[in-house]
Amino acid sequence: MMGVAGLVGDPAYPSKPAVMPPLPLGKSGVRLAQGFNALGWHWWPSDSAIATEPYDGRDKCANLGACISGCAQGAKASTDVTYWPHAVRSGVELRTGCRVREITVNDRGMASGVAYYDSGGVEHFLGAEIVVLACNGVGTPRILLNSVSSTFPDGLANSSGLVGRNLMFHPYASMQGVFEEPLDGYMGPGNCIWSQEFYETDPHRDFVRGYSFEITRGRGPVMTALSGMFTGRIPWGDGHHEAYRRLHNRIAGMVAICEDLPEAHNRVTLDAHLCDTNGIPSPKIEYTMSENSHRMLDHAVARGNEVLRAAGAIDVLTDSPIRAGGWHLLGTARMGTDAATSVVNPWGRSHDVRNLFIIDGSVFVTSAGVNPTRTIQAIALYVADSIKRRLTTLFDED
Amino acid sequence: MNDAIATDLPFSVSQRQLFRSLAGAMIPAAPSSGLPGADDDVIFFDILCASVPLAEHVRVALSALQNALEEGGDINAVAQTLEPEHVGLFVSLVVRCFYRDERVMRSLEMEVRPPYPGGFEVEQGDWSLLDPVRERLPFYRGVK
Repeated sequence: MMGVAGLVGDPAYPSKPAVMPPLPLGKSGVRLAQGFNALGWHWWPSDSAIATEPYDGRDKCANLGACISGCAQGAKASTDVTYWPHAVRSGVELRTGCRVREITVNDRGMASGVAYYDSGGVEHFLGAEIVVLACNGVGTPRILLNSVSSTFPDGLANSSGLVGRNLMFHPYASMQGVFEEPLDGYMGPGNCIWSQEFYETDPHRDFVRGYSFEITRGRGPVMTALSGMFTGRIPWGDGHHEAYRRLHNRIAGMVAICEDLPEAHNRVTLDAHLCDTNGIPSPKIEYTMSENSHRMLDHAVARGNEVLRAAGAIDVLTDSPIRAGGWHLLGTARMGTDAATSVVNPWGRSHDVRNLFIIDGSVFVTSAGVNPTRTIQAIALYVADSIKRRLTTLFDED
Repeated sequence: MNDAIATDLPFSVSQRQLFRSLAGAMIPAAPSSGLPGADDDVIFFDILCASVPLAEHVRVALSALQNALEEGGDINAVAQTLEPEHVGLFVSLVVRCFYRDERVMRSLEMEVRPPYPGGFEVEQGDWSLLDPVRERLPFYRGVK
């Protein structure tokens, strides 16, 4: 559906087909690859949900840069240009601007539909044979905990008491090298290569699990100036232009995506006082980054500095943990075989409510040291296939 | 091109003067290299237009700056002591508009055009750099 650019043969990953050729290395990718090779560390062209050939009605990447702001070319496989057009053509009705207050249940303890408010604040009820939640690690437990009834006084699907618990994010560290020669800067997709040299647990380190390095190709002029001024590398007033020109088109680096681990005290609950404009109780987040994640970040910063220097960087800018990213919302309705220790079964069905399914990041049991969207999509497709395969026995006991 | 005219803008004359002084101090002109400052007529008008959707926040930040300046001191130094959200607002507005000015882009040897639809060429690079990585044995953790 999405169309992925990549390259076959990565020794850090089980074999998988490449749908389209990889993104170009460019000047930045070559520089960083030389650094990884100098240290004997793994790197590989990133799997990227960016079309490098015309794909499913979308044109190929034209290296516009600034992918995070959206893709005028349509090459970036965001779901508005991939899944949704197909779904709408297949008869799915998308209602935007709505807020679900609760999932309702019938006297047999099955989900009967949802109560929601439209964008004008008008309350509606939508009946359903099955309910599928895809609201991720904060929205999903919020709805479940707001769905209180005499049958489910502690919230829906919460007999384990685990709805909202084990909240995980992705602690990120950023290491950006300053190089003497011009790099790709504002041209091309932000990502190009990655490294999983430090992904697996190594008993010689002072933390378990690990992280991926995702290489960032460069920055545009505004980002260069903003980050430089906020970190004091580019002064206000005298010296601004000279300092800016030392960084313009000369920054490439990486982020480390650290695998956060589940801890029951990190959780989503309902705020006792705060509500949204529809009067729906708001989520309350309690989260403390673990010592394990702190150590992992420190390791990533040190290794990132090493590889950037090996690649020829004359200066390295570090930020850890970064504030602007890594807020992937995971783990608060975990998947498992045991109803006492998990919220949904291995194919996404609630242990407690046999016509309620969850297909988002809340079912993760660990965060993994990679960005989660592709795994969320894989789980959603797997659950959808499981529903289709079991249509005649869908509500039977496990 | 902005369609706004000066009288459309929701800032008083004194607020504009203060903001313009700050912009020019933050990114001053560099006459020797032909670079305008952020208080240049065209750039500052772009800053004001970009400020309209955030007018309430900008007015609050300017008021905080005005109050802080009454204690005296250089405008750059004083502005950087404000609350982080005020500093971030000023910097983001000034920087965003300064670095999209045609004269500034030319000085950075950038083509004066939006990325779309022309796009850019990014070289493939030397794929033989992957050869030593291809020689490694698989090292992922298999499913038991």
